Amino acid sequence: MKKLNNKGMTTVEVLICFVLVVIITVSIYATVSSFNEKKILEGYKEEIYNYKNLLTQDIQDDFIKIGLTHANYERTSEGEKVIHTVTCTLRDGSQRKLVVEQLLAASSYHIGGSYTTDDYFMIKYGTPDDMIDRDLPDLGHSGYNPIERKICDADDPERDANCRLIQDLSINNVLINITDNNVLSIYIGFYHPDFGTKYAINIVCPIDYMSGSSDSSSSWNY
Amino acid sequence: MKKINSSGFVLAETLVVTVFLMVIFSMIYASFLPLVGEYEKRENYDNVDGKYGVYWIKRMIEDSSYNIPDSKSNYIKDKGYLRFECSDIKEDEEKREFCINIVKNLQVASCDKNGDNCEIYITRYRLDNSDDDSRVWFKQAVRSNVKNYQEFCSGDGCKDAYINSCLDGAEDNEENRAKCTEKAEKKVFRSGFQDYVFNLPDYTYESLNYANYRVIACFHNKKDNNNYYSYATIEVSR
Repeated sequence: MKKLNNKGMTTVEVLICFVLVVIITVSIYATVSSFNEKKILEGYKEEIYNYKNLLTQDIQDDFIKIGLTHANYERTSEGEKVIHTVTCTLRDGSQRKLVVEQLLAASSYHIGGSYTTDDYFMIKYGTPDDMIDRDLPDLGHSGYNPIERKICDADDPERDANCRLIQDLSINNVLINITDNNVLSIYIGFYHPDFGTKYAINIVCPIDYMSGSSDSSSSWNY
Repeated sequence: MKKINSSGFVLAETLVVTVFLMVIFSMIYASFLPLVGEYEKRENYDNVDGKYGVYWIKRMIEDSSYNIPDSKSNYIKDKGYLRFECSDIKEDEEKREFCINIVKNLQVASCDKNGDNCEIYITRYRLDNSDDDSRVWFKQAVRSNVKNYQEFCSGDGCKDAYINSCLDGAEDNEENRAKCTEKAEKKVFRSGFQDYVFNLPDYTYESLNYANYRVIACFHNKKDNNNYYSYATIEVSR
């Protein structure tokens, strides 16, 4: 009768194979899960881009298509809330208003943050009679304990009573400037724990710029 | 009866196959990884801020107050491009001041206090044409990427002339001279800008707006401790 090889693998061989399979699985898992995290961040980025692009487009469209003739900037505060208001007069006599409300609180995330009240951010744009709220997109939350001044796990049911949720995307820095040479510059910087301060609304526009369009005599032929 | 080999794989065979598979997977991963970096780089190409930025630069170039001086009239043909400089707005002082202010607020890269030397390039609408060697095309200029002192000067003495003009107004000491020498030796186009230009099409077909020129600008975003460059282009009708 034919002799069959039924010795199988030794324990050492099985162990080595098992270790190899584990190493490969772990490395693949780490790669795939890092891509999964990247996917979430890319979704966040897309939301920031949509938000800033739509707002920038609305404002710049008014400035370019109608023309900006005058701008006025005012910085006021209501309690701890800082309100930046830019009032623009356009060439057709109509007005546009941009309002940025910023209440920095309860986090070490924000430059100049305080620790006493809740964070609040809002951007409004429109005609003075019809201001439209542009809520910041919801890009995740973190737990923060303002008493102990440290990050905490807000999903933990047994968390400290002071640990509360704060929105990850915030308005970090507002710089509005109208230069003597009639250039309006609006910078609204955002902060997100994963992106830092990279994303911002950045609008630069000349005030009352009358372009002398070039006629055929001054056309180039280079 | 035919004897069947039913002994299976030995450990050595299994190891060889495993190592082989790992090498293949590593190679696939290594070739896939640069795509992610490439995508992240393109995030800063022609974004909304850049497009509105170059729009206002285009408006200044199309304005009748801006004209290319005679001394630079052959640059677009012979060098492939011309730098847009606020000092070339000669007749209208108010618009020159406005120009200086706007390039500063737009954070255009490399601008000096007079709004000159900025990384704003005026080129032909079309960027490359291998069939036409009667002129230098912008992509050719970017590809050859000469040193700063060779940008608009050829022959002996260009380097010294560049260093002297760089020192103009500053104290002529060893430190300043070393800085200017380093600047003179630097290439005209940064590598990020080269990547951006090569990423652009050649614009073979004529512009729908009959534009003959285009402007390409590089912005250095520095607010809020940021430090990154973004690039944008738009056509110019003159």
